Amino acid sequence: MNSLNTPIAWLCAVAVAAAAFLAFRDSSSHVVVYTALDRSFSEPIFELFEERTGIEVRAVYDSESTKTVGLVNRIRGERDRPRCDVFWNNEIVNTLRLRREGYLEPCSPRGAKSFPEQYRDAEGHWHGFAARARVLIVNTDLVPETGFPSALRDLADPRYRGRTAIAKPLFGTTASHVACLWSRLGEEATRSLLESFKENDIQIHGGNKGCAVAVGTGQAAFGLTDTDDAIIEVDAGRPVRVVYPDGGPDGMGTLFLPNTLALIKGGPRPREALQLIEFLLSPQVEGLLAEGPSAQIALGREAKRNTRVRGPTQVRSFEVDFSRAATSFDAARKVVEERFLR
Amino acid sequence: MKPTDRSSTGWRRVRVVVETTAAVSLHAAPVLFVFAILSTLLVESLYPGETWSLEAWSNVISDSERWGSLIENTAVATGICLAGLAVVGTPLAGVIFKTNAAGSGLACALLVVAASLPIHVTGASLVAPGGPTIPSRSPVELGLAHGVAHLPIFVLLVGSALLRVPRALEEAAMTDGCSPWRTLWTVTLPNARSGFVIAGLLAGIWMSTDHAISDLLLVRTFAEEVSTQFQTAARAAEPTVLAVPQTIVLGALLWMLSRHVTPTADDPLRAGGLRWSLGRWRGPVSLISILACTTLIGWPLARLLASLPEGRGLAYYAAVFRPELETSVPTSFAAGAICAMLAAGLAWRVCRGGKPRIVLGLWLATSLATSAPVLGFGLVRVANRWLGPLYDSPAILTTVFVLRFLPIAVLLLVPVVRTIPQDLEHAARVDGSSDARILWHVIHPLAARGTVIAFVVVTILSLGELSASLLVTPPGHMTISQAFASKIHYGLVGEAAGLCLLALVCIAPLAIVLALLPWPRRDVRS
Repeated sequence: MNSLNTPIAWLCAVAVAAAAFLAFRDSSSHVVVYTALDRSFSEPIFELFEERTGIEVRAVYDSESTKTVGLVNRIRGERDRPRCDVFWNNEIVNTLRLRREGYLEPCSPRGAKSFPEQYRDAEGHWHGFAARARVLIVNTDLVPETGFPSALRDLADPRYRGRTAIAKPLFGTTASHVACLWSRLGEEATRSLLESFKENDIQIHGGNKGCAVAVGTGQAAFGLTDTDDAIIEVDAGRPVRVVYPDGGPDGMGTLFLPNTLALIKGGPRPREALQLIEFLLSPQVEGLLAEGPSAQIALGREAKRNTRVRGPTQVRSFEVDFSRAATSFDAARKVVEERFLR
Repeated sequence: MKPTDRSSTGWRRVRVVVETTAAVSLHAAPVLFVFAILSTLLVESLYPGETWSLEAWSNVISDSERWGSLIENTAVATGICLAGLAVVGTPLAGVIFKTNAAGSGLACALLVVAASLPIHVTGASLVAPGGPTIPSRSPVELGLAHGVAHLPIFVLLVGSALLRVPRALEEAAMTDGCSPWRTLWTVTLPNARSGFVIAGLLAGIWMSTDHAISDLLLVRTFAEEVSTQFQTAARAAEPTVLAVPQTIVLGALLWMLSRHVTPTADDPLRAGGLRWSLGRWRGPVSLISILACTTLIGWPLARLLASLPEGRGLAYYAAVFRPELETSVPTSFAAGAICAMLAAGLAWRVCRGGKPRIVLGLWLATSLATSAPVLGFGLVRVANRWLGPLYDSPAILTTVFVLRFLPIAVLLLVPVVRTIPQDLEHAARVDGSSDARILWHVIHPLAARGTVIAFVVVTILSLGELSASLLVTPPGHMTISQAFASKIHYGLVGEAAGLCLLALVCIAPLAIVLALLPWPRRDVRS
């Protein structure tokens, strides 16, 4: 029997052709970035960088279900042989955890000093830019204006039992929010707040996007989410309003979480990585993030201000020591797992 | 003449040694790789830092509340899934494969297409038809979603087993005066039990080791918990320990069943069991079976395609998702090709007994019972440490697909290889052929049909794989499944529907290949 007539020969050809195609496709100079900012927002910015510099950006995007935490654990898992060059986190707490564990390399990119001191590390391990606020998104068809929620604790309002919403607080900005509450209010008050949410049958969604959509479509009356997800619902013409919780003079303040950039220690392409960080810290990129669909809040002194959302200078800001929040993160996660999600 | 003979004999020995070594290495590599991955994770769980420690084990084992809820959710969902399959799948398989119902060819084709839909496509269409809904957190809903997703493959496997029941046995029972129902109950079903067990087992294993749908519904099953822990825990120890009991229980179950289930050695092409006449019920029963099969493929697709934005056709989505296609298609086809190439050889070793059979049995049981995230995370650990170039390239996707689906390819080829007469092997051996040559010149050609089926099945499964590939995908790449899951999570159901359409276009040629293969003939008895 002619062995070339057997499917095996054809299968060998398929395997070799596939390998050749992938090898050909994979041969260019590049920089590797792990980013927690949604792909739809970050990809156009990477394309702009590629146009400018000719350096290909190979990104690992987070999954909506595990957000930043998945990327952080990936960086930890690659400790012996780092593959990532730049970590673009869409919040700060997990960056500080990596900083504490020694995964970050200090750097001094051009333009870093145009950001206020509280948004950058004194030693240059991380650089903050473009923030988002943690807000309540309210369905105006379901909640009368006179009864609008004004504080986080309103998620436990018994009038809205089973109709308030939150993202799974193990990941992303929701997990960071819990850690910030933990470091500011203490363990007992945070536990008690979470338990009151649970007793009120709060809806738990896979991510902040799902939470915002649930409010927009009327599955929930109001919920806790990020400004970018809330603004998308507003722009889509859904009957929603954004409330900055605890933003009044007597409130504890609205939490603002800046994006953070960091160079990974031992990353294989530090030169290209620094180029990318400098590009991302430029006023142009902050402007794009502010004007784009994610409506981020520009923090740099030279960047254009966003008129669609309020920033820390317009709303009472939740004052928190992010380093302490990073230290509290694991303890808070354990309580969320054991007390809130079971 | 003598020196020439000696030289020729020596050369032949060298050739046999080289060929055998190459063949054994090639076939043993994926088997040993799985053991290496699992061993690495186990060692890490016992040696997390600088000393050996049982801390992670004692922490996890002592958390009885967690075990209780995980066992309950996984057991309820698996039970609902299997009960649904038995109640709906068995009659459907009986009607399509054992009666003269009209349009059984069409029903089979619909089942093949439905079986080729990635599980999260079915799952997402069930749970998120119009955007993100409130995750139900209900194991009952999870079991039902998995039941619907696995129904096509269950019906095909059970139907295939029903077809392999020796015709002579059924005819003998009928000749002895048994009614068709009695023959079905006492002869056909007992002789097809291996098909029921394999189909139920595969569905149960897929249900309990996959987290694609449980992630959408936020139901805490073992697979979901292990995946979450791998992505959130600072160390690999805890999720590894969490995954051990499920792997041991499922593996042991598979091992025990493999010793009691012996697939029939009849050639399915020649066996072709009887099919019963439905008489005056033929019309309505045929209609119901066709409707059921159409619903299986049509309902999930219709719910997703209804949300396709107007004016955006296939060309638009092909352009938008070109990078995902360029990653998914070659890596999945390569995995299909590699699995199909290796499966016949491994199935041959399984069928012919000896010591390798024990090792291969252990590998089959362990691989099938291991949760996909465990395999993915273990591969990351091993590849990043010792196989850097593999870790950084898309070839790692092909690797994880091969590790996950090679056992399934082997299971598909075992019944095929069993039909190959051993006389042919003996004749080849007498002629001086090495095992490698017998494999290449006897087994592969005679298992060609099964090899093609294995290629198609593994390629389709790889195109839909999510749980393990999510952890290993290199920077700059994303698979179709990941893009789909991401769109569903972000509530972009329209784009997810477009991707679903693209996935179907990729799968269609493979489904056509399956449909064009010769299928068994059947005789009708009233």
